[in-house]
Amino acid sequence: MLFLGSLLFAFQALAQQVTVTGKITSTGDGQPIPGASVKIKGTNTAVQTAPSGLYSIKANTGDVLQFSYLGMLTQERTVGASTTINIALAEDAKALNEVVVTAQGIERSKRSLAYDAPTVKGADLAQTQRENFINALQGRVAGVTITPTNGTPGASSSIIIRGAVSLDGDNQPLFVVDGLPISNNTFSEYGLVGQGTFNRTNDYGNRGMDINPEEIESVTILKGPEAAALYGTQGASGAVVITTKKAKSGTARVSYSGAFTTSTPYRFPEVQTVYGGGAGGIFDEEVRTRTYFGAKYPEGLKRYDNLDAFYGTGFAQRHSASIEGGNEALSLRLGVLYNNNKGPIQGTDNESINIKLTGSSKIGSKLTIGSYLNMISQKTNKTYKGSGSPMISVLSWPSLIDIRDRYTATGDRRLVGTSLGGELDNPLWAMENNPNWDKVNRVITNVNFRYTATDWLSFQGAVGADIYSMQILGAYHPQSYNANVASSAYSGGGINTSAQNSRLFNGNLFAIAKKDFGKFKPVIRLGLDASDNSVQTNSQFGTRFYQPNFYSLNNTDPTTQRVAYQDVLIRKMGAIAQAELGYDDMLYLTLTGRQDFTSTLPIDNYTFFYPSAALSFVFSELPVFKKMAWLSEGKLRGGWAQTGKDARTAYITKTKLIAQGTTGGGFGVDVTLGNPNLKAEFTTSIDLGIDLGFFNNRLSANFSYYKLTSDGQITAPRLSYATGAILAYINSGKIVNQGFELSLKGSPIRKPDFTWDVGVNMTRTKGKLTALPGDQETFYVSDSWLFDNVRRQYFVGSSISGLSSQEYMRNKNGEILISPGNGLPIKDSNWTQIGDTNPDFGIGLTNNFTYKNFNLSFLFDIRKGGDIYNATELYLYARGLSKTSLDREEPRIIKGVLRDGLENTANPTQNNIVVIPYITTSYYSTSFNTIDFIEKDINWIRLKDVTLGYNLPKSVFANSKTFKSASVFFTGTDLWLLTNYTGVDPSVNGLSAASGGTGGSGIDFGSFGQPRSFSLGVRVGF
Amino acid sequence: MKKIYIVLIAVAITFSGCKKYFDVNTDPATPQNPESRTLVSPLFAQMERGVQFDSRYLGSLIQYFGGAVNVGENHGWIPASDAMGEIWRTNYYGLGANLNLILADSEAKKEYNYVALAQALKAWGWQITTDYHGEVILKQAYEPNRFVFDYDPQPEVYAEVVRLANESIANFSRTDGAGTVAKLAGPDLVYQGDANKWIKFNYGLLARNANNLVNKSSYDPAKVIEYCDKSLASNSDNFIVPNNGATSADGNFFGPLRQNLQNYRQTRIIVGLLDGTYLTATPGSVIDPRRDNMITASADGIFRGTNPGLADGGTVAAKNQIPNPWGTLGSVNPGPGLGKYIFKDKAGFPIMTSTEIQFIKAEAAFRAGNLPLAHTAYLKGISESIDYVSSQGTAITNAAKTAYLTSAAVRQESGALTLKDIMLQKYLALYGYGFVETWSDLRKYNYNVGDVKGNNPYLNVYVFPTFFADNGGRPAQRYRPRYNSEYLWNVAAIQKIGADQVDYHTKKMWFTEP
Repeated sequence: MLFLGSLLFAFQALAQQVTVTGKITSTGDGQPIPGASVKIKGTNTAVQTAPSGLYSIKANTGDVLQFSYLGMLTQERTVGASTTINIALAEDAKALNEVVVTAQGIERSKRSLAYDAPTVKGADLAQTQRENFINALQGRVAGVTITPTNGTPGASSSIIIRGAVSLDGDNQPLFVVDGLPISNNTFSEYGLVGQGTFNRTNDYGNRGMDINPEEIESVTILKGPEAAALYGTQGASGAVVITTKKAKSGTARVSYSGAFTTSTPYRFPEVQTVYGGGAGGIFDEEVRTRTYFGAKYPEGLKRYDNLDAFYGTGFAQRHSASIEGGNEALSLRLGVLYNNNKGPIQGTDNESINIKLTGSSKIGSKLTIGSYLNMISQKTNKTYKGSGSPMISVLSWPSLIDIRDRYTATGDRRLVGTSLGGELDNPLWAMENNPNWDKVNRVITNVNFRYTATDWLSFQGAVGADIYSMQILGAYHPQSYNANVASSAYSGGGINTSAQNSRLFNGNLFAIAKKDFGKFKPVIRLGLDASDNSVQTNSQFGTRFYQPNFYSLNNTDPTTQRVAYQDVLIRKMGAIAQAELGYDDMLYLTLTGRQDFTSTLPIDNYTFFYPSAALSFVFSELPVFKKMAWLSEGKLRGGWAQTGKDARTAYITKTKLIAQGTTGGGFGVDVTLGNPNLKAEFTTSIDLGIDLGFFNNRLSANFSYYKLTSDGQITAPRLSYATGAILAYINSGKIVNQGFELSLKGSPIRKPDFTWDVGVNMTRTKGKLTALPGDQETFYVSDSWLFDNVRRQYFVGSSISGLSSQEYMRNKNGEILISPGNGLPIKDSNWTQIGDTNPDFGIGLTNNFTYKNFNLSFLFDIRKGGDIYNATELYLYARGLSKTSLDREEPRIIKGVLRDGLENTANPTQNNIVVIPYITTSYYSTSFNTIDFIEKDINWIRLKDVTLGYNLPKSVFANSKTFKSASVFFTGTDLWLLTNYTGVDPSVNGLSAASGGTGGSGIDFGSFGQPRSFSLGVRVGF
Repeated sequence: MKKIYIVLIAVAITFSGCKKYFDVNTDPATPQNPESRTLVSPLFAQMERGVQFDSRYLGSLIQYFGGAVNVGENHGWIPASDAMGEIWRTNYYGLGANLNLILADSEAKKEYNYVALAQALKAWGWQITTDYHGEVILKQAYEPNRFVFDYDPQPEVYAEVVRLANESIANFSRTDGAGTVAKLAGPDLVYQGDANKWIKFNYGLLARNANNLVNKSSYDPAKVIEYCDKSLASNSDNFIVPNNGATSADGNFFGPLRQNLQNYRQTRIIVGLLDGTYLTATPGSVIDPRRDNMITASADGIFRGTNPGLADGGTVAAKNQIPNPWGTLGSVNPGPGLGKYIFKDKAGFPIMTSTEIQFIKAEAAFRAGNLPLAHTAYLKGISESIDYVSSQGTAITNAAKTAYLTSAAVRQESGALTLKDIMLQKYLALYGYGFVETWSDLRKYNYNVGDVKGNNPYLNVYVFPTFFADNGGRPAQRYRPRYNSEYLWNVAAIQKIGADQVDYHTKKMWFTEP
């Protein structure tokens, strides 16, 4: 009866046309939803809501209105007597209905994607209070490996998605903010005069760290081949796609968050304190040496805890405020961040200010324009690292001398020994007298638009600019070790400065056609993108300061001044065509083609094309699966793609000429040969995966398997000098990378007062070098050869994260060869692979509990396997500081055979020479076996981030006109580390994020790990 | 139709504009398209660099330098090291790559004197590299997109030197084209663009090349004499690489600024050649006027030299320490600007001298049986050497020179002239610079063993040291190709020529063999 009645009512209303108005809001936060669709069912008549969420549509009574918004459950209402229909849309728990911002700012439903595109919420990253948000990504996303260079403020972090694809080139992903790439460059010391220290003893921060974590809405990691195909050459190593927070219209909203953080280092290498300074077992009473081969310390001497005296407690403060508001036509958001992070090493700090203004405006019914302007200014005061790191100096400082006692009565540098060039600087003195800083001033801006021409055709595009200037200064005091050591480049004190101007213009334009033909739902996207990147680096060097403690090039001897100048311009363009062929919300075939143009390749090879194809099959839409209530979602996906990559830098098609200092001057060819025949390198990849959701998505699982084959890599290996140079840019080498990623998410408890979400992700990647040109056998990254004879060297058939060294010589039976002269082992001069820093797998485990107004979340980062080169320990060992050297007084015969000519006969002479390391200290200082310092199969469990938050109950603010919400939180980072690594921190980089290939990751030389940090903060909404 | 044309033209313009937009791959900061003029001056420094670097080892082998400083003195080698591979680097990189650019630029511009200069230096490079290493990469060198390189046998390298030197002579003789003397004079630090001198240098290369083949049946002394007559005629024709000597970058590698010679010692053989021991058989009977300029006495005033493979046994107390080539005792560096003979920061380094040419002519004439001609050349060689040494230190008076030339140390009658007279005077004259050339002479005569015809000029003068263990009791005949060039990146080719063997350096070269 009721049914009939309503039917009648409907028929009656049929003739009347009315204007229906209303507001669409979200059930989640009650905020209006702009851009939601209101459509008369069965027709093409539709409107969208304004930024205020309001809509107005003409309909006949009896029409059924469909209210929909991507990622929300669609609702229907029949137009009746009331002309006001307000709707609150609820979020769709089905993950497949989510919208993902993919490459080039293209929004796609997750359903149609044939690759995994994990997304992390900006709030989760900001909550860690980490200065460099990239460090907060570790463990949160499968397939992403973050390696911080150091634990000091302003340090760079390397991010590698799915393993390295380039032997010695840049493997860092593309950073994209609101649709356009920005620079994540790490200043490379190759731009300094004399190429600095090849990134071995200094680090300059990666520019991605300039992004204000508080302004990040979400970060999507694009790692699939299809994504790379869309970004072209720039996206060959994946992309980190950042969407920033946008203003919501309405009355102005102000929020503030602030936190104070303390940080303390808590892991240090151990040193022996039994034997004192000296040599050959004789105790040096006056303590004139930092080599510890002396006699045992006499009893009763006063000892100093110099580690404790040097490493203090860091203190950071971070204040972030935002204001947003506006109306339908124009809304604005202003976000400001001030960060001041003083590190545990006195004198190190990072100070930054970040202002971002984001606006969005709707002009007419079809055009939306958005824009942001971001200004950043930062300065980092640093320590040197590697051989110049304070760590190795503190550790080798005599415990009999107070390290704080660093000046003599006359104000000079106090020495342990007698010569300024004979020992490393007292690190406290060094921090005060060897300035080392970098400054960045940066403006990033972006203007984007969306124009909906018809209901099936729309356009979107963006133009942007990222402009920054960077200043660098690194100097050594005239009394510094580095200014006095033999053949020092800094003789008499010296200074290295550099100014870099970087300017990136880019833009893109897309036309998107979308029309449904029954169950067929094709989408065609045609687009263009272009970038124009220009970087000038002006570097200066001078030595012999006229006046000490005045650090300017103008204070150096003019005859010692030298300059280096680089001016790099790279232009790129791509034309993209993509067809997404969807059928019945179930089957999606995506075909993509990209034609790339680049200025870095020879002009005859400057353009190249590559295709990709991907299939997504949402099998849970099949009737047979629909019946299974426990299976909420299921998708099978697979993709094949080719990606081209141009040369990694400009101007390598010809050989450079270097000004010569020899008699008469003039030019000579550079050591690296240019190549006019270079071609684009190509990576072919396949990516297979499955996504499953169970129990209404309370539990979900994603699995991906991938294989990348990179061929014809543009590298600069050493070759025979018969090429006419020492190194040469060539198309070389084939790398195969394969691995899998698995992530599981669950919500075991979901009650009104108590929820528990847990997520785990697992990553495994293996890279192998399968071929080098011309039957070459090996390739090494020379920058990684930073302490003793260990370097990142690959052999054909071996891992691309291998370490090589020179081992003890052995006879044909594998017995160690002993020198008949001193009874010590002999080292081979050939290099063999002795380790691999690549882990077997990595796991990230996140947990989030909410109980009433309390929230607790924590992240564990787990790694299994992978070797670490503990160069710090080797440094200590060679100086008699290692705890393993405590048995030094025990005479021993090293097992092996004498190299007396009989070593390979049937009867080699067994070694019978007794060695007492206490006397024969070369046992430690030179005859060590390097492989002993490659720590094998290093595992770790790291409690990376813990946050406990408390939201003040809403009742508190019920009567307040000023405060709307407030919460307090406590965050701890890197609180706990369980590892079988004996050094400080196995997550290290001996170089910096600027280094190519797999760089210096896994090489620990004097590095200072992540300190333990505690933050206390508040968030207030006004 | 019209519309289609307009569209097509628009597309064409856009496309060509597009190509132009991307054609920006030329470095605005660092030159990549050099003119020949800018490349010439550094070439000379590369030549001396190759010879001098390697002579830290070879100099000890041929016993110009003593003091048991390194394995060179024992005819040995160092595994996995670039030491002794600098001539290799000079030939392929320091010279080769730059010479190719000069050839490309100047051939296009018809600057034939530049082309000729490049050819002459290429000829010099191949000659010294093959005399030093034996088989080298010749034909496949510099081939684009080649990553491994085959070695070519020595006769082919010798032939290439002849070809290049002759082409260089032809090009220097040209009067057409755009290559003027004035254009070359500035960067040509050696001959200031003087084509005649360059032609003489080329004939000198041809003379060296032909005269190294004395043991071959094809050896043609008449040809050698002809080359010598067209070659350097006086010290003013000498090929001397100048050294500014202000910084370590532009100073002589053997000068005190570079700190390379402090540990070396003057050798017994040089001392003996300068005091009559070997030339008259009576030590001290004839003191060479060159002695004070070339070597130094111990504190007690007696001239001493080390024996092969032995360190300086002298002590301060006994005043018998043996000086280093700089003339200082106890490995002391005398300081910038000081030193002795051509071991000074600002001293020029000879690549070829007229005295060497005269001795080549003397040897050829002797072998041709023309003793008077040999004797004339021999005397002129000594005379030229004295004049050259005179210019490198305290001036030698004419009286002293004449006294020496008429002394018992110098053969007065052509009939009495022996190969020993010629070769020992040549050995002495080339002291401190003619390292590879002297080594070629030593190897031609199998050191102190003698050649197949029984000539043995170095007998009892050159004495073998205790050989390096890998040698199997044999003297060195060659050095290995540069380690970091070949032993990691060109292994298969190295194995093919046997250079992976531990005694490869004792394998005789083609040019010394009959």
